[in-house]
Amino acid sequence: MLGRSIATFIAGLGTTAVILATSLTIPAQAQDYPTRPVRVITGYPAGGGGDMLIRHYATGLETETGQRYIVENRPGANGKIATDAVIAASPDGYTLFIFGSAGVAGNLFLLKEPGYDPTTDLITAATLTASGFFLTVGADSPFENMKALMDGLKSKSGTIKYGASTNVSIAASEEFLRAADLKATRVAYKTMGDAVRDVAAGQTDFLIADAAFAMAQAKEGRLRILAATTPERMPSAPEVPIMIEEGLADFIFTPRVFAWFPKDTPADIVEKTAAQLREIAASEETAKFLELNGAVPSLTASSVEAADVLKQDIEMWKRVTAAAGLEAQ
Amino acid sequence: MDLIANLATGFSAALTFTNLGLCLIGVVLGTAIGVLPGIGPIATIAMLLPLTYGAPPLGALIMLAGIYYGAQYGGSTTAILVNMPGETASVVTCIDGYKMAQNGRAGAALSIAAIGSFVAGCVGTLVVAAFAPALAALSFHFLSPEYFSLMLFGLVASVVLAHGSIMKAVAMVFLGLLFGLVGTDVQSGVVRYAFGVTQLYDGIDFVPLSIGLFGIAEIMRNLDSPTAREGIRHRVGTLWPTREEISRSWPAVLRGTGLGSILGILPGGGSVLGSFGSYVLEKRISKHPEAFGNGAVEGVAGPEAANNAGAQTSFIPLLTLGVPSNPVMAIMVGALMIQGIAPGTAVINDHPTLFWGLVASMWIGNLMLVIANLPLVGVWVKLLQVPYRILFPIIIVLCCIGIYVTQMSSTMIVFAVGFAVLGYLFSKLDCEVAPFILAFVLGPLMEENLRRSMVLSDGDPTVFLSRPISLALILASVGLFVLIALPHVRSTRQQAFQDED
Amino acid sequence: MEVGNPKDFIAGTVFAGFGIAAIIFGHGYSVGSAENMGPGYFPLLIGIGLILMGVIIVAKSVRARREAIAAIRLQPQFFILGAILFFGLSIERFGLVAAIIGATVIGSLAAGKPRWAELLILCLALATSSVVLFVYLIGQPIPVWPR
Repeated sequence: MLGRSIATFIAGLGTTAVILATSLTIPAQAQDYPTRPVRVITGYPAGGGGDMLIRHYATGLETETGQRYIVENRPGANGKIATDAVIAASPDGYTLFIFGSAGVAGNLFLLKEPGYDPTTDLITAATLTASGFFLTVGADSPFENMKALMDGLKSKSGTIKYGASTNVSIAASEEFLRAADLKATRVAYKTMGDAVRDVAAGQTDFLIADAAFAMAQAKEGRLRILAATTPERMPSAPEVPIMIEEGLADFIFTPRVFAWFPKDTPADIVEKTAAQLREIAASEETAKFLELNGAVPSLTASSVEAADVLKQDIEMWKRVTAAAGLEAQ
Repeated sequence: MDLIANLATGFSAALTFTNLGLCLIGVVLGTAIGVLPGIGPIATIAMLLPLTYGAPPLGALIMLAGIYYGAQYGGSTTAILVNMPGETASVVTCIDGYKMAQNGRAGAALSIAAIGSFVAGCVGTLVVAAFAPALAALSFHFLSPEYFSLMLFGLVASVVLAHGSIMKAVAMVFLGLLFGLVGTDVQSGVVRYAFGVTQLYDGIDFVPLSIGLFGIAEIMRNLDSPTAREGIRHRVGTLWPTREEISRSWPAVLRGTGLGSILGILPGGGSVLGSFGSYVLEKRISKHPEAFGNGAVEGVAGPEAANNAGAQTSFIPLLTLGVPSNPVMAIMVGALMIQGIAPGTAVINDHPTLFWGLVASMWIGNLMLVIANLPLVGVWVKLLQVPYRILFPIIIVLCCIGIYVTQMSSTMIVFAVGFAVLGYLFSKLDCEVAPFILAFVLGPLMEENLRRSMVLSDGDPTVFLSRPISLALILASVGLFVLIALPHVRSTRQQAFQDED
Repeated sequence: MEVGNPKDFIAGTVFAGFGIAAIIFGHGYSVGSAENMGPGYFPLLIGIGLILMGVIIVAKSVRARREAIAAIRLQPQFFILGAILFFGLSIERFGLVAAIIGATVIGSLAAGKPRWAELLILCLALATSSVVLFVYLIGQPIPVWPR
């Protein structure tokens, strides 16, 4: 009797040992992934509009998989700090990078030594959303619409001043000036709040701001929104004409948010997550959330397509940084 | 009057069991966070954001707000006990607060800080309740030229902070300005003095700077004296402030509250200006200015009041304009947006319970904080009795963790070591750190607004003089400069005459 | 013969040194003009200001009364700074527990011969409470154990 118990016990131990050993050596299968919490790194500071978007997706993934997705804000150096952290992370699928391409692509031209190549150091899983930007003027501005603004600006080309705070707003403004064939002086601000203050006071001529913030400030009566930079009218602001309608067919600016994994992450994990993200992005809740935040879903059917979109963004940033005269630091 | 009715609504909303509980959690957490070096309200609030998804909006805001102003209380505790500012605004408290602790008046300093903060918090809350929209409208007149003039005044006044050599104080101001240059220049996008270190691209982080310069340098100084082997024991006098201390403090508290309430509304630098503006004011009008820097209780009472009043009024731009005045408020924007509430004037009208409930909870939170903190004074003072050889390694470890956690980067720790050496060097050379820190914080704002004003005015420097507020501030700067420089010139001439005799 | 004040002499030199460094390292930033200040404008002004103040302070120190510099003991400082550096270098590779223990041991040596039993208890207490507080309660993603 005793012998049998001992034998069973040893057999049990042995089986457990084998299972443990094999599970330690076999990489996570996509069916089981994720089996522990996943870090979602982003370059947006906590609390901003970008951060809220990331958290929305993280929550969505949590609901889908039952595992925790913990958002890690790593702001700084226009996204380089976050990018470096992701590239240094182990490619086991438990580090996800959701961020706008502005930082990742833009830094290639804004920094003398970016030290990375997003097309090889990262695996592009999916594109998620595209943000809309609004061109705004102060509520007391004499320009009621884009045409009036353009005429007014043409007459003072050379002494126009526009406000901008982030690199993205600078890029948008420079693209606008290129499409409208105008020259202007950039007045830079540390925060959008300061920029709005000055355009509302008439100190600057126009300000291109992200849709959510612009809408909020327009409701406050501080700004007047003239046009949107999206290819179609935004569902959250259907009364706002788009640049194309106002004669600037060339000017579409919709920076995108992407999801990436570090290179060498197993392909099946990438695809599984990409599919889940696409599902979340296409859902009703997300649509409502995006409306509030001035963004629209921008989905790619596969990670290959997403990688192509990234390449397009890189090209755009190359052009913009050159045109804006932004020197690499 | 409407105000009473609104406050009644607010209190009835804030006094529910859930909201009281959330308030308590918030302020206790905030105090704990404020005491821990490095970890501040920003990191904590960001971490707790997901928890607010399911929570009712008012409760969520109450908790997050509690963390914020609770951290002010905690930050002053470390400033007084171990010369470590929990937040930028607590830097000023270090000057006289720590000296008071070294003189055996730690209990008195902590009590006065707590009570003064409570009074200021009450008044600040009232200001938010009664004057929020009006004050927000005032801020529209504060454009780049006004910011520049204000910062200039602040920099001139920071020399007043010094109680030693004026020349060295001025030099420290310049040095602080230099360190403030590190990072990306706002107007041109050029990265200055970063030497390729990405963590410096957005400027030198305040956490390793302040921990190194204040906290660690202090430990280094303490271990210089031979009594270190036996352990440093701060003399402990009575826990409560003496009658004289109280009578000197309460006018300072009132003045500080006024100053802090107003300056807290200004986005960017407002809270720092409030606390150190109060210090400068107290020193200037004091009958014993030489006491400042050696443990003058007004130097704790005023700035602490200003600090906390500013913390309350810094909600105003957020709630009325939808514009956050500091990174913590920026996270609050997120918290509101998650709940589907767009911050702005609409909040007061569309969500009156939310607005007034939050206002009422600020008062409740301040009450909780003073009730919680006063008994803790005895505990903190007891902690000071722990033999130093055990205490300082604990402080070192907590500092290291706090610094690391700021950016999850060991580079920050190396910076802190550098600043510690710098701080140690400065103390040996009798160079005061307070003007350095203030210049470090205010300098970038001053430069940014100066250059922007010039661009906006197409290169016309008279813009600073043609705008009334700016003109007033520039005149005040010049006046203050003369006031500071004159006695010095006179005494130098006197000395020259004496030498000739 | 007046004895110089070494405190101010050294302080002045340090300030002037920073000023010179500011100008040398900042030479690449374009200065611009008073109407249109470039990124190099302020660095230049501050650099000059620092050099000026440094020179003034040094000049005044030569004639001033001597003020002794307070005692400096280098040994404790090496241990304190060493402890912090150890923490910084080891936390990512060896985790929080190792970093804390190392920093505590090295740091304690700054106060002289350690009392080993006391030190051991301190290390364990600090390590456990820090892990509980920062990693579990607050939820910071700090590595606890060696990778």
